Amino acid sequence: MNRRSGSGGDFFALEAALRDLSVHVEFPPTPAIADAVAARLRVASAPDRRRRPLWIQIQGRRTLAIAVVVLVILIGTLAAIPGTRTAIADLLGFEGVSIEVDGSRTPPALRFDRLDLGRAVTPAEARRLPAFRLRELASARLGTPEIYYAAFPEGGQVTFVYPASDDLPASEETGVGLLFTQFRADIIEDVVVQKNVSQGAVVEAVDVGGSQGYWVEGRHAFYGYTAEDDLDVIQEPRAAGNALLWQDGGMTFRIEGAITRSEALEFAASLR
Amino acid sequence: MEGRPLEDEELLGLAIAGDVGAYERLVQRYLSLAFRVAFLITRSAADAEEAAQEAFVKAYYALRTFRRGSSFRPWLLAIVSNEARNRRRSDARRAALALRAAEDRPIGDAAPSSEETVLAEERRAALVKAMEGLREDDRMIIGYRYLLELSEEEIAAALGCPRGTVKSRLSRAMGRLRDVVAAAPGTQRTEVDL
Repeated sequence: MNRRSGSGGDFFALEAALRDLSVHVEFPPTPAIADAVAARLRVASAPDRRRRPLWIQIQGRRTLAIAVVVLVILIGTLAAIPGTRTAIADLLGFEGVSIEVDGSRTPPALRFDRLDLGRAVTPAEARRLPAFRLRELASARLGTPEIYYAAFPEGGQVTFVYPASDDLPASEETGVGLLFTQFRADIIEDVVVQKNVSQGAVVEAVDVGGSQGYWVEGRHAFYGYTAEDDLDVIQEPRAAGNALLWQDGGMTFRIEGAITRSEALEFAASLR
Repeated sequence: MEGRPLEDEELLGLAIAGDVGAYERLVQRYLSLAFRVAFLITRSAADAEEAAQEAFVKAYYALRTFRRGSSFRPWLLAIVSNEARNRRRSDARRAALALRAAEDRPIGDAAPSSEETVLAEERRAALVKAMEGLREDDRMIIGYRYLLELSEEEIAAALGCPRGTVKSRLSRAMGRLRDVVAAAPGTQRTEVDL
């Protein structure tokens, strides 16, 4: 009888035992989900028969109709994104913003269900967690918000979710009264905020208290915030309603809801 | 098991251009691996299925960030493992690794003596138990390396750790597994050669 002892042979024996184990481990049967995946993607890429020309308003002047427009906001330096960028960016005057024409993809179908906002936090946590000073909207029309924090993009992201009320109708896309999101604009090099502006939606440059902003009117697809190598924050595009986007003091702010442009600007003006 | 790089490259190119059918073929190719990686993390077939499905959908939308020419498997497995970790429930509900019954021997194997069979089965069960007792990181890396035969790059992607640390992590995990196995009752007997 041979009794193995000592540490030398143990790793080899253990490896051999593990390899033997791998032949005998029984995983549950692989589910047949390939067509479910494909079905979801096909629904998303079905062309909209009610295609209407899309107009971009730049400084009040109507410009050309483009089938699909992707509004790409580059925070900080321009990241490596294929397509035309810089020529148009200067036109718009929004630091790092460009509008990109992307005819290769039809806009994805839009889902309303989940808002991937991170985790619910208390007001104290919302002040403590991000790498910036938290700003809040001080309008009397807004009720008590739920607050969410996500660790992406870099520096963190805080979203205030205001409930619908008599004074603030629920958005068809999100089901809530108002979404107010903020994150740092200056420290992120590779964060890309993509809004795919679908048929009928209008993008307009606006002045938000002296800062440059964009008003997007009409339902459009919102991709969320992605960093080029950060796979954690990939999101399926969701339906977004009217939205005001602007940058100020190194921060990016976004307000979304079933509101008009002037209402959005009023909320923005209440920023503290 | 390597994929066939050229075909993947072609399918990827088509998928990036919006060809859902081409992507579906990619999904078929990687489905089993993705599901098993997810299962090792979630230990629930239902959660693993959901994680795999979400991961493939997200991967499609993220294809624009995939660097053409680099390896698809690690990139995909990073997404899969993220989704699986998001769906992991408490340890109490974790299913153990199942072992195939002794009758399911590969065809052509000479029938071992019944005592060898019993010993071998006991040894495997003891090893599974020892693995289950490891902390999560150790359990995962050993599972990825030996049960799924992932490469170093793929292990790094699935664990979300720097590639250069994989060897040392694996080595430490093996050391801890060896200690658990050595300390388990009955180990002396199963290591005996007859």
